[in-house]
Amino acid sequence: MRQPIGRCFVYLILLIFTVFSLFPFYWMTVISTRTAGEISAIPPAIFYGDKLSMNLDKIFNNENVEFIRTVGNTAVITLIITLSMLLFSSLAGFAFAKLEFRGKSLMLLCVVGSLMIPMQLGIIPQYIIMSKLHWINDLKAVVVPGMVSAFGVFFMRQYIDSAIPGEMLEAGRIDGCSNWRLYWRIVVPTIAPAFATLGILTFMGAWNDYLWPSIVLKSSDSLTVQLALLRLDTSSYFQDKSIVMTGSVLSTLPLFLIFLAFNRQFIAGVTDGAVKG
Amino acid sequence: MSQEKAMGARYRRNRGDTITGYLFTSPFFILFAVFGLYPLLYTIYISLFKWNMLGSKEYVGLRNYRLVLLDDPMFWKAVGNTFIIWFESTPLQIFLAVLLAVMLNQAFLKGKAIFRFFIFLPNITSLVAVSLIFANVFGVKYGLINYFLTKLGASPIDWAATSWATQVAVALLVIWRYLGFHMVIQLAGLQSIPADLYESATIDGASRRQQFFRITVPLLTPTILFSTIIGTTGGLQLYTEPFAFLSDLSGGLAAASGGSHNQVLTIVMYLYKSAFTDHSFGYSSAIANLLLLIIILFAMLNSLLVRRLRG
Repeated sequence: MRQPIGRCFVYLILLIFTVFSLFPFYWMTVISTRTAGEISAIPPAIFYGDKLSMNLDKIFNNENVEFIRTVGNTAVITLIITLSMLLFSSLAGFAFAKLEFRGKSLMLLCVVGSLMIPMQLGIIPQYIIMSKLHWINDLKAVVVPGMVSAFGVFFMRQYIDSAIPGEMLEAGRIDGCSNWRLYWRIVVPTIAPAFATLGILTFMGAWNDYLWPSIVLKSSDSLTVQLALLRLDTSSYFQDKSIVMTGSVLSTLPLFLIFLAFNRQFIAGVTDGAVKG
Repeated sequence: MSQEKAMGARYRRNRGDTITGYLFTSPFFILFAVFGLYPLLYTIYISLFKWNMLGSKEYVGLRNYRLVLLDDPMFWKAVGNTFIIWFESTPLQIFLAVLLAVMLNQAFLKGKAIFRFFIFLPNITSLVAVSLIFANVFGVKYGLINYFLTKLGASPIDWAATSWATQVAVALLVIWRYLGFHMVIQLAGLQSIPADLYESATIDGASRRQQFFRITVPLLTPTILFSTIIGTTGGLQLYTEPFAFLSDLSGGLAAASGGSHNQVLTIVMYLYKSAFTDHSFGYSSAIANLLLLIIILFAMLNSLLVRRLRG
C-alpha cells in the first residue's frame, strides 16, 4: 500500500462504497421532488424536480393518514422510552455496580442471561397481555415494554463500575448522603457520555421500530410514522411513489439531524453497544 | 483493587443498601417479568395446545412440533429462504466490512471521518424507509436497475415475481443497511490491536503482508466472529425488510405470504402469518420456540469459538 497506485486504489474503493451508500438517499430525495408521472417516465428522472411542495401538501392533507399526528405519536413514544430507559437503566446499573445486597449476583446473572434472548419471539403472549390490559391501539402498548432493557442495565453497570471510584461514593456517604443523593449528585453528572450513547441508541431504535407497533397499533389515531409510511399512497389505479418517498424523507430527517450533530457519539455508541452487548 | 474491596466490605454494613438495591433494580425486574419472562414461558406452554385465541385450548402434547418439523413444507421453505438470504448477504457483507475497515485504518488516508460518516449513514434509516427506497430502485416497470438493464441490452428482471431476484434484492438491501455498522465494529477491533505489535514486527523485519496475516487477521478474528453472530441472529429474525419491500412492490397481500411464490417468506414472517393471519397460536408458538432454540445454539457456538480462540 506504500505505492501511489495502491493509495489511489484505496481511495477509489472507498469512493465506490460511499456512492453505493449515498445513492439510494439521493434518489429518495429526487423522487420526493417529482410527480408520480415523472418517475414513471422512461428514462426515469435522475435530477431534482420542483414538486416538493406539492408532495408535502399531499402528505399533510392525506386522506388515509394524519401525518402530523403520527409524527406526534412517534415523538411521544420515543421521548418517554428514551428518558425512562436512561433513568431506570442508570438506577439499576448503579445498584449493580456499587451497592451490595442479597441476591445481587444471581440477579445480575438474570440480566446477562436475558441479553441473549430475542424478546420479540414472545410476541404472541405479549399481544395477549396487551389485549387483556385493553392497551391495543394505545401508545402505552409500545411505551411500557420499552421503558428499560437488559441491555441498558448491563451497559450502565459496566460504565458506572469503571467510571466512578468507590472513594467518591464513600466520601459522599461520610457527608451523610442517602443512596438516592449519591445517585443524583455523583453518579448522574459523571456518566453523561454513557447517557449520550444509550440515549442515541434507544432513540434510534424506538423511532424506527416497526414490527411490534404494527401488531398493537391498528387504529388510525394511534399510528406511528413507520406505520404511516406504508399507508400514505391513496391512489387506487397506480402507485404514487413520490408521496411514499417524501414521507420516507420526512421520517428519516430527525434521525439524520441527530446523526449529523452527534455522529462521533453515535458511532461510538453503536460500537460500545455492540461490543458490550 | 484491594482498597475497592475494602470499600465494598464497608458498604455491606449499610443496611439501607439492600432496600435501595431492590428498589433501584425493581423497574427492570418488574417489566422483565411481565413482558419478557412470562411471555417466554407462556410461549413454551401454549405450544403444547391447539388454540385460536377465541375458543378453548385443546392439549395436543408435542403435535405442533411434529407438524412443523415433519408435515409442513411451508416451514421448511421459510427456513430455506431465511438461509438463502443470509448466505447471500452476511458472508459478503462481513468480508466487505473488514476490507473497508482495513482501508479506513491506513495511516495515510485523508477524510477518514467523512468516508465513515457516509458509509455508516444507511444504518440510521428506518427499515421501512430503506425497504421502500429499494422497492423503487428495483421497481419492475420504472425501476432504475431495470432501466439500466434494458439500456445495456439485457431484458428487464421481474424483481417482484422471480424467486431468485426477490431474494437477491432483499439480500442487497440487508448489505446496504448493515455494511457501515459492521465496518465500524471491525474498525474498533482493528484499533484495539496494540500498535507496538506492528512496531516490533517491523523491527524484526516482517513485511506488511506478513504483518497482515500474522498479526491483524488472528487478532481481528474474535471481532469478525462477533459480527458474524450479530449478522446471523439478525438474519434469522429477518422480517421487516422483505415485508415492507414486497408491500410496496406487489401489495400487502403478496407481502404477507412472502411474495407470489413465497420466495422471501422468512421464518419470522411465517411465524407471524400463522399467528395473526391463520390464528394458530399454538402452532406459531412452536415455530417461535424452534427459532429460539436455533438462536441460542448459535450464540453458544459463538461463545465456544471465542473461548477456544482466546485459550
